[in-house]
Amino acid sequence: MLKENTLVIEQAAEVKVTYFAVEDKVNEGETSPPRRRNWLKHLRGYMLSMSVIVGILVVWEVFEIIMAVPTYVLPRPSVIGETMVKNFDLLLRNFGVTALEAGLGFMLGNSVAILIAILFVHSPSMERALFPVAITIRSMPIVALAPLFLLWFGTGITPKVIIAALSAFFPTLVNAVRGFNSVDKSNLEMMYTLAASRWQIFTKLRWPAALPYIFAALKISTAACVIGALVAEWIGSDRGLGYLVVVSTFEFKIELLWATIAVTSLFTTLLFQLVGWIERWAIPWNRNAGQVE
Amino acid sequence: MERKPSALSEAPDTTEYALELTDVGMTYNAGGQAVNALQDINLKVRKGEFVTLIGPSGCGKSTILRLVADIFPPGSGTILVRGQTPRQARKQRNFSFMFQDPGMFPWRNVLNNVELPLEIAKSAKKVRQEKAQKLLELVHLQGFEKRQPNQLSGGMRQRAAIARALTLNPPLLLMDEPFSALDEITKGRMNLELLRIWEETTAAVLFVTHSIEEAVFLSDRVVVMTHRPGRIKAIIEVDLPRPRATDMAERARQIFPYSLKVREALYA
Repeated sequence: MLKENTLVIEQAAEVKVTYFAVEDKVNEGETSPPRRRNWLKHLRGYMLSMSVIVGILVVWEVFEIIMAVPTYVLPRPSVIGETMVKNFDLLLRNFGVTALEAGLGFMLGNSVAILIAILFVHSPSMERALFPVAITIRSMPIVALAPLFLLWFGTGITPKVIIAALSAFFPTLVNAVRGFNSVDKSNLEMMYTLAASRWQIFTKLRWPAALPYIFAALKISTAACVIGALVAEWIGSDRGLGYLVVVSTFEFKIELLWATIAVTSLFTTLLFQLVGWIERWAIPWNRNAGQVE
Repeated sequence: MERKPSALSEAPDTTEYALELTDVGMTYNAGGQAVNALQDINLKVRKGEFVTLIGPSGCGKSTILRLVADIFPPGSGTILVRGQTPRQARKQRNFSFMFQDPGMFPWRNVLNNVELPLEIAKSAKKVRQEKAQKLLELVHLQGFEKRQPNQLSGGMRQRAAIARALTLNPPLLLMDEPFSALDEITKGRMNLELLRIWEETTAAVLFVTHSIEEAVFLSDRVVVMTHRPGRIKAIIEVDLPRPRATDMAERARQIFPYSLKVREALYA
């Protein structure tokens, strides 16, 4: 047997090969250079989105001047801007109220959602038992619940915070559970073979792996919280941006209504950006984090 | 290959073998049907020995590694890691498991990834950093400590994974196709590297692969397995001297007759 092998090897020696002089350099493929933050690229992204918004406003303004649209149908951006300046104190006062409600609701709703997600990940039976409850709560219309919360908790800040929190709760719960479960099976097996405790597996593996999912949910919930707080104010309050919406509609102050809408969307955008900035700082390893949305 | 009539009659031998598998069998349930995955597995790995399991997909070679690693219990038979049960061995961190995927945590730099096992074992920060640094030098990754894993090539990531597997000085390394995701050329280099690194340790290795050349080049013994139920079909002793040839052509020439034997056993 061995003789035959030797024969095959000797035959291989007769194959014609031409050698060329090349530098002897061992390299296992290129490594990418350390990533640098490209501030210019970010700036250009912002410039682009800003110029789109400005462009829309200009078209809007010009269109209304040409078509002579009455203010009560749709006020011009310049009129809305003027109203915002004129009613600055009023808007700021009510903005403060809504911002506090939405902010507290954001923290409450998301914290509870993340804590419940942690519970679900460590206890599948809990997940099976409680997830339908979460879906049931989710499927109840907040607009219909809001009056009940006012009935139970009064007209103070409490029902608004709860409604804002409820609006944020569900997307974060679903995404956090997905995030905690997004870890690779081989990573889990490795932690297991290293005899890591549940706490170590959570803090060193599941939590960092879930962060991109959690931040995606936090971004969604920014808008949800503001809308939740607004709806609650709308139904029963004597202050806040939601209250201002009701009053300005009732008193037919269409410019003030639009100014309130503008302040609300500015606030939501800012909150969204803020979460995006925190995301970029908190999960620098995630390439997709914090792009201009 | 030795066969023991009964697993229970054997007193635990704590000194001679890094790993003993006696009459190990495994049946699992797939959609209500019992699948016989492993049967009559008897294998002893001496301390410091390099043993490779090779066989077709689904022959249960990865399952054997997972049984040894206490990831799931055997259906029958006994497994001893240096005389200990897999559970005891795992709790005392007496083996390391290396996967096909290097499994570097992207949120940690290379150094922090390598020190992870020591961190879990609650070693002092200074101790684990020194150890990780030393191992990164051993696997020729010095200068890359502060890099993120995604800035390394596949081969470099797998080197880092080798370093991580060695941080606890385990007497037994379980390697599940660690180089199968690499290209042929990088794999060849990694084989050389693995032998160089392994010769610096006293660890026994149980290695799973699909590659005949890799199996022969690395191992003292190549265990050929059959398709489901996975059984040991043949064991080929590779009595080539160590350290093995580092010249690729010389190496190919040396391993040729052994590869042929493995191939014969696989397709017989």
